[in-house]
Amino acid sequence: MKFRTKITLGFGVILLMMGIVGGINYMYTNKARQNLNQYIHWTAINNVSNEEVTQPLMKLGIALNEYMRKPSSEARERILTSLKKCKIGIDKWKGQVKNLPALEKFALTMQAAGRKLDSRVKGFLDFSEKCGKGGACTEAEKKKLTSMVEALTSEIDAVIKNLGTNMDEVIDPRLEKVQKKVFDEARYSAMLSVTLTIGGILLGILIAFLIGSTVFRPIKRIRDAITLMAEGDFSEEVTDNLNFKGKDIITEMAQGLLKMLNGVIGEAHSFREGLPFPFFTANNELKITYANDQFLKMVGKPSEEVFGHYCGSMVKAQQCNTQQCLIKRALASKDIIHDISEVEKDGEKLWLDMSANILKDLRGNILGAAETLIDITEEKKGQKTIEENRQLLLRVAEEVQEIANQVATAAELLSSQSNEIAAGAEEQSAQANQVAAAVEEMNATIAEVAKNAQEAANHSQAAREVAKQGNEVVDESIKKIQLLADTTQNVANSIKALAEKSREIDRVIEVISDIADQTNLLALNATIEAASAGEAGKGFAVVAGEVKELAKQTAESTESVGEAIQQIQEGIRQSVEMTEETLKEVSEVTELSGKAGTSLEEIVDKTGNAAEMVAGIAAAAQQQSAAVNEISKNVDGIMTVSQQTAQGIAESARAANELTQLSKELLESARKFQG
Amino acid sequence: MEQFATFYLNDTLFGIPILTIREIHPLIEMTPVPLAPDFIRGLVNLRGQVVTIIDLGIKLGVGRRDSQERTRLMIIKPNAELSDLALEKGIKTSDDPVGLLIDEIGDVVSAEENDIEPPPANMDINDLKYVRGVAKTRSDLLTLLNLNQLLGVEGGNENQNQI
Repeated sequence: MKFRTKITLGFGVILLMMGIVGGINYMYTNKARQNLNQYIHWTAINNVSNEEVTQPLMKLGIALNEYMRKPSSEARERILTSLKKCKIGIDKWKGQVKNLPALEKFALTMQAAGRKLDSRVKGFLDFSEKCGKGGACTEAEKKKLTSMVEALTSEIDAVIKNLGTNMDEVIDPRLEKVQKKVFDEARYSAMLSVTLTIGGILLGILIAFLIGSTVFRPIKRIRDAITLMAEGDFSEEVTDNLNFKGKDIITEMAQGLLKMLNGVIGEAHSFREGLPFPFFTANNELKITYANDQFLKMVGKPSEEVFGHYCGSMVKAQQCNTQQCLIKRALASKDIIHDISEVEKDGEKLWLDMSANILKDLRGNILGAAETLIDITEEKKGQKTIEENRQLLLRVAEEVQEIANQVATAAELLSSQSNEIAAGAEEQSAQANQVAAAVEEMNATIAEVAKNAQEAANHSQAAREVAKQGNEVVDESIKKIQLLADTTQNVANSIKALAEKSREIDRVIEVISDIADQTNLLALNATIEAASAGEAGKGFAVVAGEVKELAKQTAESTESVGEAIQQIQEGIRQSVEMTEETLKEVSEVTELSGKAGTSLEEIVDKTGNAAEMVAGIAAAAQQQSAAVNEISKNVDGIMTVSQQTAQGIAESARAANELTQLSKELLESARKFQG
Repeated sequence: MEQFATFYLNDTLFGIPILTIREIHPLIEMTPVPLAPDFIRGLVNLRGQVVTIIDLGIKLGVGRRDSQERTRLMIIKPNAELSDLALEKGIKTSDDPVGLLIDEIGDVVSAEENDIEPPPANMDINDLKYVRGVAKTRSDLLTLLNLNQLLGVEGGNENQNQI
């Protein structure tokens, strides 16, 4: 049965109950109303009989008595009014009791009594008036009047009594009956209503309980399931709670939830649980809200000791309890924070690669943060080993490089030094060769010197003789040179005189040139004159032309002479210079000859000394010769050694080159290694 | 046939009719004329007659040169002194006696009227009036000057204006 049907049915039953109660109530109320009407009717009849019949009758009685004591028009009037009222009241009452046969009959009697009373009262009044007219009534008349009034009064009393009796007999039991009926029915109705209401309430509760039990139970189950899910529990219990059959809306809801659980939440849950590394989430107070099995396994605590506890007390990474806390940083920066920490666990060092990121609900409110911790101890150890090895290798490489550098430097140095030494050795060898050659030469020379020295000593003596002769010759030549100097001076003087003459010729030539010029001018002017003479001047013009031509020739010749003279003058000038030069040289030669003479004298003296010295030289040369022989031997030794050295050094240079090459290769390798 | 006396002004050969020349005179001391135009080089006293010395070079655009050994004065006959022959040929010079300062005297050259060609067409219009024509000699081209224009009325007026 569907949930809606259940609810509808429940409410239907309750509504039916309420309808029944209402109907019964209405029925009884209606009855009560009818009874009440009856009651009112009876009461009205009673009232009319009392107020409109009995009371006017009583007033009539009173008025009659009053009139008896003191007749007046007012009293009379009152009697008449009451009488009238009585009549109206009786008529009214009669109308009311139409449906009551017992009273209707009595009503007719009342009407008759009324009419009788009316006529008798009127009779009384007439009699009283008659009596009054005559002045005072007689005693008899008074007695009659009094008796009449007494009769009337008793008559009225009788009527009232009769009415009351009739009324009591007919109306009162009826009234009582109606009253009783109304009370009885009202009580019954109330009792019925109460019973029905109580029954309805009980029934309603029952139905509500029935409906509730069928409706609320699945809702409760869903609630339990949701509560469990909210706590992060996705166990079988949740699935069991949601798994029930039916077709109503609650079942659909449960099925939807189940689907959601199996879908999104299940996936998320299984994802969280299935993470292959420790993972936990924490709220903004850093209290753990969720931790997967891996995490629990890592911290070695049961979930009760983890959930809801401060995350820093679980892992004890160096960042915990500081501003470096990853979750704090993630919450502050709203970004993924990544860090590595060294953690001590059971006396072992663990390396954890931690990442934290904030968690947000769908509206973007920050709920807390999630953190993963990946154990990278193995990698770290491996890395450390590799790093150590690398460092070691780097150090070795550096050392190798350094050594290689040193070797290279040393090798290069060695190489260059070897080269230098080789060169030096070669040079030494060559020099030794030269020395040997030189020594040999020297030896020979010394021998020559010794020999020549002797000869020189001999020649010195001869030279001395020759020098003496030379001195004499020099003296002679000085005399000759002096003679030459004198002659040259004479020549110079003659040339100077010649120069003077040539200058004079120059002056003459200038004069001739002038004359030629003037002649030319004159001839020109003559031509001009002749031209102005026209035909007559023609002959003259010819002459003038010839004169001009002559003047021209003269000028040209003079120019030639001038040039020749200039050449002569140049020659003279050169001659003068040369003569002067000659004179200077002659005097120098004279002086030198003098010096030569002196020198020759000195030579004669010195030659003697030289001869002695030459003899000394000869002796020394012989000693030298012996020493040189010794040197020669030593030089040979040096040569042999330097040749050997050169050979050795050449080899070492080659080796050094190879070493340099090797160290370069080594360096290259070391660099590759470092790079 | 006409005879021309030739002379050099800075290596250029010029010629004027021989009938216009009184004489060729060696250079003598010239008295400078204050405030005179620069082509008037000065005055000379020639046998009691005052002669104005003109440097044609300045007028013909050759420019002023220093006096040299061969510098001469070519004295021109004033109109009054011109011979009948000259008058017959319609030659005119100036009213006052003037002398030309020339760099070197040339020769007397004869030229037929046919040998005289008009001045070159590309000459300056101002210079054109001073040149009568160009005559060919055996070796050179001779520029024949129009003395009347160089010295004549115009020259006189010029002097007056400038003095």
